[in-house]
Order: sequence, then C-alpha cells, then structure tokens
Amino acid sequence: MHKRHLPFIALSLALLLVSCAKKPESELVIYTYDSFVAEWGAAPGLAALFEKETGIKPTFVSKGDGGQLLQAVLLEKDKPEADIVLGLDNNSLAKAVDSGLFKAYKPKGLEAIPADIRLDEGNRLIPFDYGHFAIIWDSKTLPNPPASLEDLTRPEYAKKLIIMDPRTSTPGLGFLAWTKAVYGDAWKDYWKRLTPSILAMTPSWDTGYGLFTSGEAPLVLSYATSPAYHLENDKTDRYRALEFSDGHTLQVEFAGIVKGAKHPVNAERFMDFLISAEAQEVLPLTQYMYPANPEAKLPDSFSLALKPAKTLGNVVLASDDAAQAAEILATK
Amino acid sequence: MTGTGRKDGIRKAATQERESQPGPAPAGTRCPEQAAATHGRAAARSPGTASSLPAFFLVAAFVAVAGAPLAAALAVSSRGGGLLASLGAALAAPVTARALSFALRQALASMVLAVAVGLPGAWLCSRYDFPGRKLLKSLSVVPFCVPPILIVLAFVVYYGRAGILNRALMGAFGLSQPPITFLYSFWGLVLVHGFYNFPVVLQGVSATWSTLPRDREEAARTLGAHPFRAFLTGSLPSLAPSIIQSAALVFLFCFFSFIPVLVFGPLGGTTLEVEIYRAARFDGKEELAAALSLIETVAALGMVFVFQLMDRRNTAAARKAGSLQKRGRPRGGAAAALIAYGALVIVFFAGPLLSLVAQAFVVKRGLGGSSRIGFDNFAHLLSGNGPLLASLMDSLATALPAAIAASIFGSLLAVVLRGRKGGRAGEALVTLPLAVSGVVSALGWSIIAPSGSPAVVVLALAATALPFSLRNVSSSLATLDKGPSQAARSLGAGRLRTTLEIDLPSIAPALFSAAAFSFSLTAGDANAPLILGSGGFQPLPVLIYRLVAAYRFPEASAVGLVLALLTGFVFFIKEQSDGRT
Repeated sequence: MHKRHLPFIALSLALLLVSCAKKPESELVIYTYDSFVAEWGAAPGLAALFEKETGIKPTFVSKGDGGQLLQAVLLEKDKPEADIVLGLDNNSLAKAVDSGLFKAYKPKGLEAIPADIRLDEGNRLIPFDYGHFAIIWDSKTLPNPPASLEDLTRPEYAKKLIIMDPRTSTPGLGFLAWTKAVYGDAWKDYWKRLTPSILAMTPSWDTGYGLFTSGEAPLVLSYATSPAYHLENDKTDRYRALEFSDGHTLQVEFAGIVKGAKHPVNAERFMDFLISAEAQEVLPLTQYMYPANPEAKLPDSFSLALKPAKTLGNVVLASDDAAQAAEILATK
Repeated sequence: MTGTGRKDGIRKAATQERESQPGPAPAGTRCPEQAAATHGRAAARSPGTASSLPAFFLVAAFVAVAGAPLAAALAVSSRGGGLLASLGAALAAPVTARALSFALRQALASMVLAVAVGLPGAWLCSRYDFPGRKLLKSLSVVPFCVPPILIVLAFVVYYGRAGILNRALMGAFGLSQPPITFLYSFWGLVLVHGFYNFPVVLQGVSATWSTLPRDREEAARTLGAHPFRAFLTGSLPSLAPSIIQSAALVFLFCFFSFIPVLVFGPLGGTTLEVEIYRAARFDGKEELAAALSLIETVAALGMVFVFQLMDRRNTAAARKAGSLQKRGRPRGGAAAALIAYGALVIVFFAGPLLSLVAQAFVVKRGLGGSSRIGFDNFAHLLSGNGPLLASLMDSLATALPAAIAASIFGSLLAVVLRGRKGGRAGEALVTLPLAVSGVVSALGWSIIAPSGSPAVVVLALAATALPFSLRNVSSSLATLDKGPSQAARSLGAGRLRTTLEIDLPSIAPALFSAAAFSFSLTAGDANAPLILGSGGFQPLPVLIYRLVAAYRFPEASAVGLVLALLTGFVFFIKEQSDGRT
C-alpha cells in the first residue's frame, strides 16, 4: 500500500467510527419536514427560545417533504421515536387523526387561536401557522394579471402558468383542492380548460418557484405570503400575490403529541410554548406563513402579504383525484 | 427531491479514465459484469487463485448488501394477498403501463441522442491532439456531482424562455418572442437528457477508440471504400461493445430520471420511478410501491440483458484492440469538424453548466431584483452560523467511509472472483446494484431501518459504489503481470506474503482510484441522506436541496460549485496517482 494513501484511510476509518457512534439521549424529539430544520428555518430559533425558557433542549428531526412526514410516523406506529410531530397540514389532517397516533392535549392559550383554523375539535392536532394559496404574479413581465381561476384559462395566458404536481407535492394538492372548492364536481372540466395555460407542472414547490424566479413564466402557484419574502430578502415588490374573486383555500399546519411519547411532560410544555406569542413571532420570517396566534407581531414586509377577503372551506380530496388531474393534463 | 442516487452511480461509471489502465482493452473498457465475465474466461487458462469458502462468504455478503433493498421490497409486496396479488394489482393499473412505456420511450430516445453527440467527440478525442481535449473528456465529471435539481435550474437559466440563449437570439435578430420554446415537451426532455449524458459516451468510447488498430479501416479505404463505409466495416464492430456499454448506462440513467422528467417532460407525464415515489411517500401504499419497485428493477435488468446480448456478438472483434495509437494534429476537414463540434458542445452543454457557475456569484439586491457579481454567497455560507463547513464535514463523514468500504470490499470481491467462471448468473448478480434505482434503494433501506441514521446512509451509498470499485480493481487485476508473484512463490514465498508484498502494491493504484471514484459517486447523492439520514445531518447535496427549497438559488449554486470542486479535487488526486503508474 502506498504511504500517501494511509492518511486518507486512517481519516476515513476514524470518520466511519464517528458516524456509527451513538448519539446522546434526547429530552424531546420533534419530527418535522425538511425546510423547518434548515438554518434559516423555524427550528433553530424555536429551539433556542424554548431552551432558554425551560432548560429543555429539543431535537428536531427532518423526515423529508411535508407529504412524507405522516408516512414516516405511520412506519413507526408500534414503536414511536417521536414525542411531537410538527408540520402536518389540513390535507393529511383526517388521515392523521384517524390513525389514532395522536394524544389529545389542549395547550395553554388555545382560546387565542381563531376557531376557523382549529380544524381538529378533539385537540389532537393544534394549528401553529397558516397561509392562503395564491397565484404569484411577476408584475414586470405580464401587464394584465388574471383575477379569477376562470381568467387563468384565457388564451392570453397560454403557457404562462407554473403549478405543482398534486401527485407529489402539498401545494399541488392544495391547488387541486382549491379548484374543487370553487368548481365542485366540475373541477375536471376546469382542468381541461386550464391545460393550455400550464407551462410546467413541477414535482415540488421549490422547482416550480425556481422556474418562476428564473423568468420562465409570469404566474406561479405559491402562497399569498410569498411576496413578503421578496420584499424582506430581495428588497423588491415586483412579485405580487393575486386576489381571486373566487376566494382562496387555506393551508393550515398542525403539531400534535404522539401517544406513547417518551417525554410526555416536555412535549406538553413545548405545545404550550409553540402557540405562545413569543414563539409565534419566529414563524413569519422563517416559515413565511401567518402565525396562528393573532397576538404575535408581524414584520413590516408582511404588508405585501395578501390576506384575501374570502376564505374557502376545507375540501376533502378523493384518493385518486391527483392521478385523475395528471391524466387530464396528459391527454389534453 | 429524489431520483439522484442511481443516476450518479450510473453516470460515474463512464467517467473513469480508462486510458490510465493500459493493456488489453476488453477488461479495462467494459462494465463490471462484462469484466467479470472476461475474467471467467481467463480462468479457463489460469488456475483459480482463491479458495472457495471466503469467496462464498464475500459473494453472500455482496448479495446481502446489494439485494437488501429488493429483499425488503419483496417482503413488503408479499404482505396481505401475497406477492402475485400485489404484482397483479400493480400491473393491472393502467397508469403502470403508461409509466413504463413513457419511461422506455424517453430513455431510448435520450440514449440515441447521447450516442449521436458522443461518437463524433470520441472520434476527435481518439484521433487528434488539440487544446481542451482532456477538458472535453473530463466534462463528464462535472455534472455527476451536481444534484438534478440544480441541473434543471441550469438548463432553465440557459435554455429557458427568459434564458441566456433566447435573450441572445432575441437581441441578435430583433425578435419579440423567445424562439426556443421546445424545452417543455417530449423532445425538450430528450434534449436535456441527451446533452447531459453524451460525455458518458464520449468518454467510454474514446478510451477504446484510442487503442484500436487502424489497419482494417485503412485497408478498406485503400480498396476504395467510402470513409463512412470503411468506418462501418473496419472500426464499428470493435467499438460496438464500448458504445453499447455506455449507451446502456445512459439508458439506465434516463430510465430512472425523476425531476427532469416531471419538469421538462410533457404535462402529466409519469414514469415508474415517479409512481413508486408517489405510492410510497405520498399515498402510503407500501405494497404497491414495493410491487412497482420489483417491476421497475426487472424491466431495467431486462434492458441491460438485451444490451449484453448485443454486446456478446462483438466481443471477439473487440479483443483485437491493442496499445495506444498515435494522435495527430487536426488539419483541414478534421480541424473544421473539431471547431464545429467544439461550438456544439459549448452552446448546448457547457452553456448551462457555466450559467450555473455564474449563478453562484450572483448577489441579489435592490428594488426590481437588480443584482451584482461577488463572493457574498460564499461569505454568507461560511460566516458565523453559516452551514457550509459543517455540511462539508458531513459530506466527508459519509462519502469517505462509504468510498473506503466500497473499495476494500470491491477489491476483496475482485480478488476472490478472479479466475472463476462467472457465468450468466454471476454477471446478473454484479449488475444488480445498477438496476436498482435511487428511489427503490432508498425505499428498501427505509423499510429495513425506518428511523435511519448516518450509518445506514453510508451502507446504502457503499452498496451503490460497489459495482464500480469491483470493476476498477478487476480491470487492474486482469492486466497484472503474474511473473513476479509466480517467481516469488517458486522461491518459497507464502501465498499471503506474495499477495501482501507483490500483488497488493501493484493493484494499490487501482484500489485508490476505486476509492476516489466511489467518493465522488457518493458525495453527490442527496437521496440516501435525505430519506435515511437523521436530524442535524446535512451533507452538501442535502444543503443544496434545502437552499433551493428556501428560495436561495444563488447560494445553492455556490454550494453546488463547492461540491463540484471537492469532487474535482478528489478526481485530480486520482488522476495524478493514476498518471504515475
């Protein structure tokens, strides 16, 4: 063996040992989706505040996309590793509640949270933030923006819209639910009419939004709060959320305590903390969603976040709706 | 996102610098399975060199590691109504046939384009010396370590409606509408796949072409054959194995492609990879996902088998390949062809990549999204709480152990398999990890270890790299001069001593090269760490994924550049090391 390779090998073996080493015992384990745990996500800020207040150090564990989170918890049904699951949304709410995985707990101060986002009456899943789905408009490249879902089907918007795939992403499902809330059973006809306007249907929000900010299309499906991000970070008000006359559907995000959690007391304290005004103020600039607790102060950039006049009710999607929507686009 | 894992595995196979392994071409220029087969044939001539028991255990371990995801899929799809019921239900769903047919069509079309673009480059690189020749050949290294999500954005920034190419054309010809609009269609997808993969063909074929004796083609031309006809009869039969091998790799990569298919493909298009991901991660239909995984793997294995059948016919011709042929300076027609080809590569392939590099230095600021150029993205990523250094360490902590494990295990396997009749079963076995897609591998491992941990990530990545390190060391063993070790043994040296003091030092460069190769292969994978990793664990590809998910595209490009440089650096060391032998 050549000597110059030895340091590499020694280093690798050391790293192999380190990577196999056992981690120290945690005091509170929270499963969430990926972007929540990133440096610029909400987890670091929440963890620091919570530890300062209670001395308890929470461990956030990323379980992939929002859509994958519930699956990850279901896989561990018999032997839960998590104390809290944070980040389930209204699309997966019914399934999560029915799974019987979550323990009812009414956190302190729950009365402050508006009733219309407290979708689980049994208090197994508690809302912590919410946002409306909206079409974001690049005001620099498109003079006349649409004002309703029906407007989107007009020929002038041919290949001008980017949406996300309802088969693989939460915003995609949200858009499907939105069209179903507005058109009822006629949503399939609407999707047929909409097809010529769609430039691309991307597998996830990030890819679609990346295409949009690269100038591929002037309209993209996102959240009504997205313009606040651009104002805060890019100092531009070029991107606007469009208010549609149909009204908008909501995405509400929930957290809940897992039955059989190893640290039930710490978990309850975290739930109390999560909806407190102090913790909620971390959310707008990390999640770019509205905090569930209206007492939390909003940053200035949220002046550009749209708060639609009309909110549509929660729509339950059938299990094959997403596949049917894709089929419609594929056959035209 | 997903769909990254296998891609890297497949494409990196072709980036190996084959010219660095002198000697008879067949073993050095072919797939692991074919290399193994060649050794099998060689065995008929020289007696076996390893005893059966360790060989059995090593092969069993290989099967266990490589087959683990499939075994898990098999177990899961056998739940409930049983395996046949699950498979039947999966096959009966109309979407399965649609997904399979679309995946096959786009993968075959992309493969044809990659071969069509790669072959002329392979010819130029094997016949002529020109500035940028090495760069052209190593172009294939660059995108391997860049996650598909960045590749998608690179193609958009370049080919998109508001992309560099369209803006240039609109400016030059005074157009009001972008002229290039085919990106979001079947052919747009094929273009992206084809141009992303042609260096795999260029690299693989030029290695063989460089060592191909020219007498037959020249003889045909002396007899008055048209140059193209002379090529068809004189050179093509000998090149066929390497063309087919690299084409098969491109095919598999496109067959397993995920993000590009959904972004650029026709609306609502779907492939088996997408359906598996959906069933497992979104619908919670684990049995269906597992059954679809089995179908996809069998389809992939079937296609690889077809390619191998085509290859076998030409193996005899390829054996005639000899030593490195002289390269000349391009003149006249060749020079013109070179310039045209260079322009093609720069416009279609290097353009998107360079735009990604440029993106890494874009700093956004000010109203209206005006921006400037600077190192701010890197500075921000490295400052106080910046994630880059920790992420780099996580990458090293996964890729280094995975690379070492893969190369050591691969070498042991190569040693025990040396001089054994492999047979078709053996070939299929070594091919297995290639036919297991990134999504299937992650799904299988997550069934085995639901909570995941960095150790599982290392194991899954090592399994991905295994076939390539095995191939690398096998090729080196095949060209090993048996003289010294035979001499040593006849002078009374024991087998162990001979192996340690004579054989091992001679394959050490190949071992190191396998490790370096496995390193770059595993360092670029986002799939395994995303699905199998645990909290706080963030190797570079995961960091890229998270940055893209947080609107931070320039910073994501910056991390992409760091990843490319890291992999490039490791490749550079490998090349230096190879060069000395």
